[in-house]
Amino acid sequence: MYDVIIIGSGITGAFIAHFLAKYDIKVLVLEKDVEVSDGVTKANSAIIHSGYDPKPNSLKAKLNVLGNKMYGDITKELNVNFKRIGSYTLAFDKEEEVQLKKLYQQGNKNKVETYLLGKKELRAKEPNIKETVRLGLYAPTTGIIAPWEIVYALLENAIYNGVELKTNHEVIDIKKEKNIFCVKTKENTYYTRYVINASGLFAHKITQMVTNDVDYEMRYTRGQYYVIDRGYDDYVNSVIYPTPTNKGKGVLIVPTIHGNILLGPTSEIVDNPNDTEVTKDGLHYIKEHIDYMMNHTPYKGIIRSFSGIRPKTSREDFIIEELKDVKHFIQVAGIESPGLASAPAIAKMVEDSLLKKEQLPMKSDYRVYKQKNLKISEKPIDEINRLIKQNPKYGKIICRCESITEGEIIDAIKGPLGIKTVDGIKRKVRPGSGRCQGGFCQPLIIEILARELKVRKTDILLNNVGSNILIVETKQSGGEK
Amino acid sequence: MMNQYDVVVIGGGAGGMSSALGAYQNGAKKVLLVERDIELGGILQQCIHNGFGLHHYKEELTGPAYAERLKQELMDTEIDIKLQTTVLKITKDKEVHMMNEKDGYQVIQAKAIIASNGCRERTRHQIDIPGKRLSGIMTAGLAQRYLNIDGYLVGKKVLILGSGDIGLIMARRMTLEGAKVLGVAEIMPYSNGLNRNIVQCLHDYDIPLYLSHTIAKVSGNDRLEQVTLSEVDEKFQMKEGTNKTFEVDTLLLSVGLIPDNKLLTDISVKMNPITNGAYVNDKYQTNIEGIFACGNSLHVHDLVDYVSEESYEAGKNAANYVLHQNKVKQNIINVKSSDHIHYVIPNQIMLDNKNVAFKFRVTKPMEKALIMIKQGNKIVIEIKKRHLLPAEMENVKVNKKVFKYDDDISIEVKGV
Repeated sequence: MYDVIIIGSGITGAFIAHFLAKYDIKVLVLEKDVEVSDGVTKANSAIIHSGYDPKPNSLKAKLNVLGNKMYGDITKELNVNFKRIGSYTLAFDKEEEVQLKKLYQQGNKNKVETYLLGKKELRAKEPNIKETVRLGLYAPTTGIIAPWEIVYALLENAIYNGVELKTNHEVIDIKKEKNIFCVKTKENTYYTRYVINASGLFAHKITQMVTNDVDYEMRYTRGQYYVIDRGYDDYVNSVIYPTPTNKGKGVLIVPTIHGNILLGPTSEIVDNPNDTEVTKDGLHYIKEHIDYMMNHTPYKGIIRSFSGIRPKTSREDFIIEELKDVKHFIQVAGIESPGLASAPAIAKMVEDSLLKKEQLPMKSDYRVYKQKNLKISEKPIDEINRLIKQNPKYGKIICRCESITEGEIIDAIKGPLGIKTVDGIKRKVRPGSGRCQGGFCQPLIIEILARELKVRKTDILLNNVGSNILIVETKQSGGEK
Repeated sequence: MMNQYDVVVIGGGAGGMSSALGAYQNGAKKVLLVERDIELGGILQQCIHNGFGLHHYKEELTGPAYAERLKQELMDTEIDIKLQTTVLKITKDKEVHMMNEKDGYQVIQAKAIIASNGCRERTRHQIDIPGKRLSGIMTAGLAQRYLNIDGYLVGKKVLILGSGDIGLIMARRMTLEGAKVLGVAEIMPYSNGLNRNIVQCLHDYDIPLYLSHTIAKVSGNDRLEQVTLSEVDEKFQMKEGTNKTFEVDTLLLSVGLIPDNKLLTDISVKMNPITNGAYVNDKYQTNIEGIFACGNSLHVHDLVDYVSEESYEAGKNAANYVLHQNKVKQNIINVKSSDHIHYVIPNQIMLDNKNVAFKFRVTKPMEKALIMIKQGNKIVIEIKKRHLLPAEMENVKVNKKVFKYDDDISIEVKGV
């Protein structure tokens, strides 16, 4: 019997698990995929927006501004990479200029620090902005983070402090009897007093399991992106946005926390939450919109394209509420942009709503689980040598593009999350994120995973069930039948 | 006290081994060869087919056998070899920063560095293949490694995009191991592989080659299930109504190789945007004195024999640089590629009485062509060729005595 079951291990579920971990209650996180952070969280713009953009007084505005502030302390506490690099929102014609001035006012209302800058100042800060720029809105608090990195850190901390996580556990039914929820997965049935639905693209489907009264529609909105290799630091220093339209924030340029550059997203409504295709048209659209704003875009350095789906809803604002007809079922839905930026504040709001219902005792033995040994190869030489002496595997580079060592990979496999897949390792420590896209390191990752997990290489998955990479062992005696 | 070497060679493939030999046999005393893998040989180790060594050893060897020959030659020298050691960075002052399990992070001072660390495969993302990210789509070289080194097949029903040599070799190899290869698609109207590979790997196994075709879509759930090919016109635009769908679980990509040069670009070595390798003179020296480049990290070769030849020269030049610090600055002239020549190496030569090997590729297949090496407007050398193919690198040796002026040299080709 659990006190709280959280459905979904994306950024929202992870922050909620993190905030509840300090209380002496039984918490379970259920995730349908094999690894955590495998949905909306793994494929978005990776920006902690400043908060001038959402409509004043909306939940989005309030939680974005608060969430942005919270990131500083939390990332410091857990030792996760986070940088405030600031952003420029650009206007290239009269209409956009008017719109930008309105945004500036809105920023003031949302209490976000912003400045209007002219062409000269803008191009001095970001020389690759086109000469046609007329006005820019500078927001110094805009930050960047690797979304999955913070999720992994939050969940590792939660698990370290007693929260349970079950991956590959898709919730297929929920029943409420008396005051107890019975949550069914394909494998098992779990009982709990509270359910928190943080299931991203599937939030409406989970809510439908307990009520007929779902008062919003889900609009799967696909965004396609390009990723540019590290080493193009001269291109931009900050996040660059176009003037937003009613379709969203538009096609952006985002330096990532690991030194790559993201270009995107598109904004297309699709029928299917799994429709993460990239299309010729979509990729062309990105280039067209980037070229409207920027010179010298290093397309030559493109190493990857991907798609992510955002869970927009017909209610437009975030939906964070207890169901009226089903007490103790808290729904967290429609967490699209600025969901990543707002996530800590969303979780805080959920935590507060639980505290309003009952007093939760604190754990006496709560300890923060800090991320350790991040990016060995970037540490000072003395420290690297000290670490290699402790564990020689820290001296063996497995991923040549990102300089990731075997020690870091083994730590990820043996860590609290128990990472099992090639993509899970990639998100946790980055091998395969570089210019060869795993062409060189994937065989080594499979070998390490199989060895450490004591399974066959043919059992190792790229990501989800059915995504095995090696199919037939050719050198076994008798061959495959 | 920092460890010191005359020449440090980065990469233990054919290029690295040959250049280490070149440096050692020409007088460099302390030579270090650094290789990240558990053994020397580089990509040769996974190329278990034959066809290697016809020029260099005058016999036909497999990749591992070719590597073994070079290894044996190394064993007779006092060249230091570090295996399972990765070079993390080099500096303009020729420090080499490297790391392994045993020695930890080490910084070595070299008098000359030779970068011969190979190339990587172009992936689906660099050619914008539409569709989802699925298991079962990978580069041909990766599938080759899984099969020939690790002993695993990556799928049972296979389509291959790109008719480069690795794609062709893998079509045969997967077939021999029991997979069904449904075809090889090539966006160009001609193949990009060596002719002998088209015959021996496709024709002999009745594997169709779809020229002027590309991928319209890949689909599946988590694993690849279907690939749709479309015919393209002269501008590489897909033609409507030409879609063909293949039920396959595997798509292998053989769509080009890219020299891997992060170590050099990090210290701002001047690069050639066509080859993605460094600009070099005829000593294979980059624009930073004492830093040399050769092999597939300089430009992608189709024959390992030429890698060996070129890299041995680079090693010899590095040794000469260390021994004599020859800083000949005068009489340097530029070499340019002109009509129908994709690129030429070297980019600069020094005028002396020695030989130079011009290596270049044409931009399109040509029959009965005339290659002209010009200085200024004057034709210095003419060579008639029956066939020229982009897939086959031309290698023309010239004695530099023929260049009598200070004008730039250009290489051109025309039909006759």
